[in-house]
Amino acid sequence: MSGWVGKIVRINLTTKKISYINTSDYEEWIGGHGMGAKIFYDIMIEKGVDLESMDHNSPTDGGFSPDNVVSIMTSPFTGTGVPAATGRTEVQGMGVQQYPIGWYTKSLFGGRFGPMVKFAGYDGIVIEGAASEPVWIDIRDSDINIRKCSELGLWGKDTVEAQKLIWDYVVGDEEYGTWISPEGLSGRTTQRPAVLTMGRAGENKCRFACLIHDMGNCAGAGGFGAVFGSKNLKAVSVIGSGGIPVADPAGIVKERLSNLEEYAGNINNFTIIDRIRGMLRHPFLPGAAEAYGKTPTNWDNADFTSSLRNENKGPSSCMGCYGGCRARYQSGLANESKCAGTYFYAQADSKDIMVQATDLVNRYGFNTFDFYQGVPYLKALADQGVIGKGCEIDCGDLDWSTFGSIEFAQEFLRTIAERETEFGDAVAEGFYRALDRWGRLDDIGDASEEDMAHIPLPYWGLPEHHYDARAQLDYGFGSILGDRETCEHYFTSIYWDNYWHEILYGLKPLDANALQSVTLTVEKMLPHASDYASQEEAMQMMNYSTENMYSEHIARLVSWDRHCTRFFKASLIMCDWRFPDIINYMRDDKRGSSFTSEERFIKAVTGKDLSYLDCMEIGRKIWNLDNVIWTLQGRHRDMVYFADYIYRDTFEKEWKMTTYDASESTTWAFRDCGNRKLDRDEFDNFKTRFYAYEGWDTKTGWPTRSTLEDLGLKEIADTLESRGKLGSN
Amino acid sequence: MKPTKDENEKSVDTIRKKNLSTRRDFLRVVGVFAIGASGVGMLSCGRETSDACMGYVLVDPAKCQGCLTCMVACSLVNEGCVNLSLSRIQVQRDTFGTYPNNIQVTQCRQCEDPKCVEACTNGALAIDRENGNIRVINRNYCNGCGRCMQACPYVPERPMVAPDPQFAGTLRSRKCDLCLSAPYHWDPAGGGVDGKQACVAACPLGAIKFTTSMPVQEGNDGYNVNMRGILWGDLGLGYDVYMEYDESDV
Repeated sequence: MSGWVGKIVRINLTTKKISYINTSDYEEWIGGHGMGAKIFYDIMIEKGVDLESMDHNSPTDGGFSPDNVVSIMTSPFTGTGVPAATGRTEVQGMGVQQYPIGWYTKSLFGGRFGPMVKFAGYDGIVIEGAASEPVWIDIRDSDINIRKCSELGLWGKDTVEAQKLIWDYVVGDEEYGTWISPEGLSGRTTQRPAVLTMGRAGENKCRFACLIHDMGNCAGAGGFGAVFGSKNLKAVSVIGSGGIPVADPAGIVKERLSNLEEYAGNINNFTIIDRIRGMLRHPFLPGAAEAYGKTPTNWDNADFTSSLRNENKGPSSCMGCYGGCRARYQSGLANESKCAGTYFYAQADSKDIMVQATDLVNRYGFNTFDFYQGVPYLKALADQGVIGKGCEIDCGDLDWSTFGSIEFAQEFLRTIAERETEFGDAVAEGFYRALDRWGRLDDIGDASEEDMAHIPLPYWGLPEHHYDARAQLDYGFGSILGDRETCEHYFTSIYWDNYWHEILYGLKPLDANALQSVTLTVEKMLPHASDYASQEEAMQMMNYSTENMYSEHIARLVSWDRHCTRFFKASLIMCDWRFPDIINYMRDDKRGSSFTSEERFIKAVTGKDLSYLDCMEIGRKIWNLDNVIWTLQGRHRDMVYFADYIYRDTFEKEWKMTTYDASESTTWAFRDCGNRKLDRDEFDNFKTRFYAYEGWDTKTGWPTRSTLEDLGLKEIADTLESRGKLGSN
Repeated sequence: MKPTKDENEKSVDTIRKKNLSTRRDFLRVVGVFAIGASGVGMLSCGRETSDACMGYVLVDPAKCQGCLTCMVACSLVNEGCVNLSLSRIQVQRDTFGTYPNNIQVTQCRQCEDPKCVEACTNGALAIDRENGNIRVINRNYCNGCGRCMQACPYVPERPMVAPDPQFAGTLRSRKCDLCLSAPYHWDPAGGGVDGKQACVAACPLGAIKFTTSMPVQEGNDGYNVNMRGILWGDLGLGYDVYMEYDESDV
């Protein structure tokens, strides 16, 4: 095998049994999500786990059940030098954050963990069961030990302290920078172990606890920090000294260099326009211009990775990336944190406090996006006297009059992570369950400056992530039809392109105007575009107008996005911030490298001739397998709906997306797709169109035999049928 | 004050002439034996003196983003796989540390006085006079004894001994030869002092460069240089040091 290293380690924390899975048995599922999902499915069937009977509100069932299997998977690209894919890893398993059911889900993170897993000789780590006391997993090449946390006093430590303790334990007294060969390692290395851990939030099973690797690499979605907590698993540490075989080593280097030359800006010789473009997250741009420069002013309060952080800093990236989008700082505080990772305390009294608070929230191990939406909401309730000492929601000594200070942030985080007081215990259950407990589900909705006591939780009880379903259709519809908010930004980047050019910088005309954006994108939307009669008709997939928003065109858009991202972003694990490269501002023709570049990298790494269409078909298969698992968990189309406010209230923001209007001289233009709401019945009709397009049962949303057999999944169809869960054609 | 490029080149020329003269004297005494390998002539030497290398890799750890791409590229072109433990250049990153001290980049210095060459008793390490005096290893003659590693005065030591699949898994040493003998080189013209080095080419930030000027041998200042530039400082990066930037360094 090339690209893969050959085996996946399976660790049962209940029995302490360590076994191995041949990667070749799962090769058709590529890696990452595909491989993890098939392994999860196989283990559930092997063990006869009844997923549907699980109680996802129980502190010991659902994702918290020992039956939950968490896999930490790499891809053939991991570690190999493919840009923006080398350092990434995906975690899979049943989540604990969503409501009403913790769907089988995923969370991705960067850094160097995945590569180290492969250097140690594994394509992934599968964890099942639960330990009887707190443990951590210590992997050194082929030497694997499940160690008690008590030996190092790990349990109770924050994410930084825990990693440092593990480093010291594994490396011993060896100074940084020397060659080391700890006991169990076959060879030697200068690197430190790569550790994936959780903090106090995970130990206390806070439902939005994340996993942290190094400093700023976080697997936030799903609540996998809490899942680790339920398994009494503090951390997984990996150090490896082996190699990763590849099919064409010179080819990888050549392809990488040619990509850099043809599609990236030059970080040592750039213009002010390049810098603005860099902010737009265009692929392959060495990211210093993006992340460390002058970030847009509207981010001033939220993202301190800009020059606004007034201290000396240098660039920082995941392994193998062209464009490090983070920074490392003179103070060392919150190294590597960026974007949503810096949103926890946007209302802090000063930037210095934001920096300290970001460092702190990572040490506790919380998914910061919940706080981004949740903190202003809680503050509003405190201002109204609903939350406070002795109030309706008792928060003990947490003093809201000190809000904005670092002392408040410390107390706030501790109260929730330790589940202290009625307030802390409720918030630790995630915002949907907290509101449910407080009888305040009616607060779910849009906050406004006049009335901040609302929180947007549009789908599955999860916080909205900028991209409202009423405007950003690909994102919103893809999220409710899936398992989590997608956090996949290709189409939203088109929105931001326009926003930054027009609103922030007054730059007109756009480098890639609406027609060009649509044309370039639809050219790549195969096979979904191929059975249209004409290119013009296919372009309707990018028509976000109100007239078109529930059409089969949009169903195809969402379907293409699901299949494409399931393969490239979730299974080959290519960075969402860099791929796909479809509209590229560094080139005169604006044509990016996707997907011929991906095909060439697949060939160079694995030796396989996988065409883009082959990849899309595998993506469709993985998306179908996800729906199989969700169906086994109890999903039915009747459950698939947004929170009421999405249908009730107008999204009161201007949100310009590509639209087509035959009555205007400029048919394709960026027009406002905000200031509208969804129609409940029309969205229900949209689901029927979507299910039909996917070849799923339109009455239930379940997979059908014909579709599964078309994908080579007959056995899975048989299993669904035996459980009464197979959809009708 | 740093020497200018011209001054550096002059000094290197002087060193070359001096070493050539010394070498002629040396050869008269001990004789010479040639090692034929793939048509490339190499001379075993280093017991008393050596010729200055005509190429060096310089790094800027304050500019480095810690992506380890140089290590990946190095092992790809030299070993045919990705293996950080076999990369001739090593980047150590302390994610919890403070800038600029949280990244260290260490590369072979192609020393003026190469202790590794001197220590080799098998004729495996040599100065390749046909190829810019690069300090090279001919693994056919290496027995994996590790003397070269032990002799290297730097931390981490630059030569590395590990099982070599090309020699039935027996121990063999490796060291940086500026990609001269890289079997998986991506460029038909290859590496060496007149070619391309994988780490230099692969670094996405231009934090590694190749120079023909011999760096100051004492300490690290000659090998760790400022490659950031005015634009870099304008981004708010490394602002306390970019002012020292010298155009002649790039």
